[in-house]
Amino acid sequence: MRSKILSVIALSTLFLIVKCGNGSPPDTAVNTSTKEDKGIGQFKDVNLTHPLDEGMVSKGEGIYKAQCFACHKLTTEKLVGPGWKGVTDRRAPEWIMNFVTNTNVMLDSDLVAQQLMVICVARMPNQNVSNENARNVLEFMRKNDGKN
Amino acid sequence: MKNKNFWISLSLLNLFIVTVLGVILRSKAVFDLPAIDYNHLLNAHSHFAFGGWVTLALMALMVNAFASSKGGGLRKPYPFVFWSIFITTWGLLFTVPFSGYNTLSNYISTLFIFATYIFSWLFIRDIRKAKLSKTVILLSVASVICLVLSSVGPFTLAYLFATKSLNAVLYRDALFSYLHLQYNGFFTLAVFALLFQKIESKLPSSAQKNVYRFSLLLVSSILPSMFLSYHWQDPGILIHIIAYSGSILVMLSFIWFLFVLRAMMQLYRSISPIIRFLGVLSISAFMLKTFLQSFTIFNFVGNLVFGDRPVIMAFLHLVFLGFVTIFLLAYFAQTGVLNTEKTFTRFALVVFTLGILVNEALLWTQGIDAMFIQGSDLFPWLLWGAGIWLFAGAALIGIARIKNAPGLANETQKGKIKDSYSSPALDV
Ligand code: HEC
Repeated sequence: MRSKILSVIALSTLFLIVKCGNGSPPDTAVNTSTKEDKGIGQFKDVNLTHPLDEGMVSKGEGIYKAQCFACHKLTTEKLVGPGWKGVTDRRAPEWIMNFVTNTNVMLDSDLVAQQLMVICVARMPNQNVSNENARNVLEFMRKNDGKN
Repeated sequence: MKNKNFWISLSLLNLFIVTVLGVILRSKAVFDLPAIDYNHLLNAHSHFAFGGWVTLALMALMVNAFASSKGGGLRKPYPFVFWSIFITTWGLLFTVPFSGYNTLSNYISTLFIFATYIFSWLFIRDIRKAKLSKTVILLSVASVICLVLSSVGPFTLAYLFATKSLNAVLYRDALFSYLHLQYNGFFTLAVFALLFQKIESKLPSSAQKNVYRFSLLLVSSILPSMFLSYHWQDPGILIHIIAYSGSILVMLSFIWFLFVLRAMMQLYRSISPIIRFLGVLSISAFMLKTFLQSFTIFNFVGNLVFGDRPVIMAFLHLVFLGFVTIFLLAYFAQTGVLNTEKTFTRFALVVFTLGILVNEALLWTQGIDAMFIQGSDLFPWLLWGAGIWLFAGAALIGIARIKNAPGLANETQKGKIKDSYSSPALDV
């Protein structure tokens, strides 16, 4: 009996050595800057308004509290996903809007998005955000980053 | 192992640890705790809840009830398996929160999975020799088979992370298949095996037939209903058909359960009020779960649910806490592991159970709010409070168990616990 069990354990050890031989994920920081990357999706050119549109900000905040709150903090601290502080500095507005509206495609093919996934050990689910609301959330993120 | 309830005590300790991790997770949403990685801790929390609490408790009860040796003690290899489970889950507790999945934690979780394989093999070997009804054998064997099958999930995920190919479809399928086989397979079937072993002989023979048919439907629904979590994202015709038949089988088992329920009502009077309270809640949670599960067949429900984190959390905790955990507590109470003659124990059980209800109410409200794009600053705080409530409840239950532990209890109590434990009949 014992010897059988031991051999099972030995086998599992072997299995692990094989499995872990592939190397571990890279330690890329969440804030790798990729401002040029516009991501994948319909947004090629997003017009930013100066000063901020406060109406959009408050709609964006509503979306945030309803749909994003559970996974994103407004500080730099990671929850399920990265904290939103500084997100508008490290990502292009187009990237953010594409990511929010086209999450699954981005996570499957965009390099930055995939790196984020490795760091977070989680996958952001598609949130069914409309184009208009994605823009509102972007405005809210800009406000959170102290833009004007 | 002289004391069969030793493992139950350890599993209750583990339940307490699960609630501690839960409180830290909920704190992370409202306080700055940059030192803690949320997802690592979340993985540790769920690992520990699955492995350290429910798996250990269910295995210990199943061996006690179905496969213990003639002398009443545990057969030789089981303590070895239980120690392996206990040590590997604690190993994960000390590795996963800090480093996530690395070589060491992968190694430990593989050992954990192998321990479950060894358990399943021993258990199936032994249960064939036990004198049990065909219903109980069907349920318990199917339960451990699901346990073994579910391990495909973690292995697939490990592979995906190792190769950095986090393909959308595979990732989610691996995760949901694992959850399905654990929740609707291993946990649910084991719970009904334990329940029916206690009550089947007390039911009239017509009801026993319904119990068997219900069990058969339940078991046969498991594999097809697994496709409910695939079908809404990728409509291949074959997957659709399997998912539909899964949904129908789940519905049928729900209907048959109503017959079983009617028969069980006759036993209702013979149990104490606190166990009635727990039993009613646990069974309601099971029925709600079954009902909701069969409804994910509709695409729009699937889409709403699978993207809405609070709803997923609400559903997971409904099954895990509402159905399985409350059942386990009721079982402990009925068999004397928790002595409900003591006011303190009843108080502990009620506090913990109300915590489960509050937690559910909050998560569902938050999830339904999210569907209507409504939100509130209050939720993270309220959820934090619910976390502390559950923590306090689990601590009280732990204290109640320590007070009632055989080493500390007086002799008469000891005798009583033993008796009620080994007798297959319901004792009042
Ligand atoms: C279930 C948790 C979850 C929810 C809910 C969620 N996200 Fe995410 N989000 C993530 C994760 C995890 C990542 C990192 C990428 C990955 O691993 O998928 C992420 C990444 C992001 C990023 C990129 C951040 C960066 O630093 O580059 C943006 C932007 C984002 N999410 C926006 C949103 C918006 C807008 C919502 C609400 C409509 C939302 N998320 C809801 C989990 C979530």
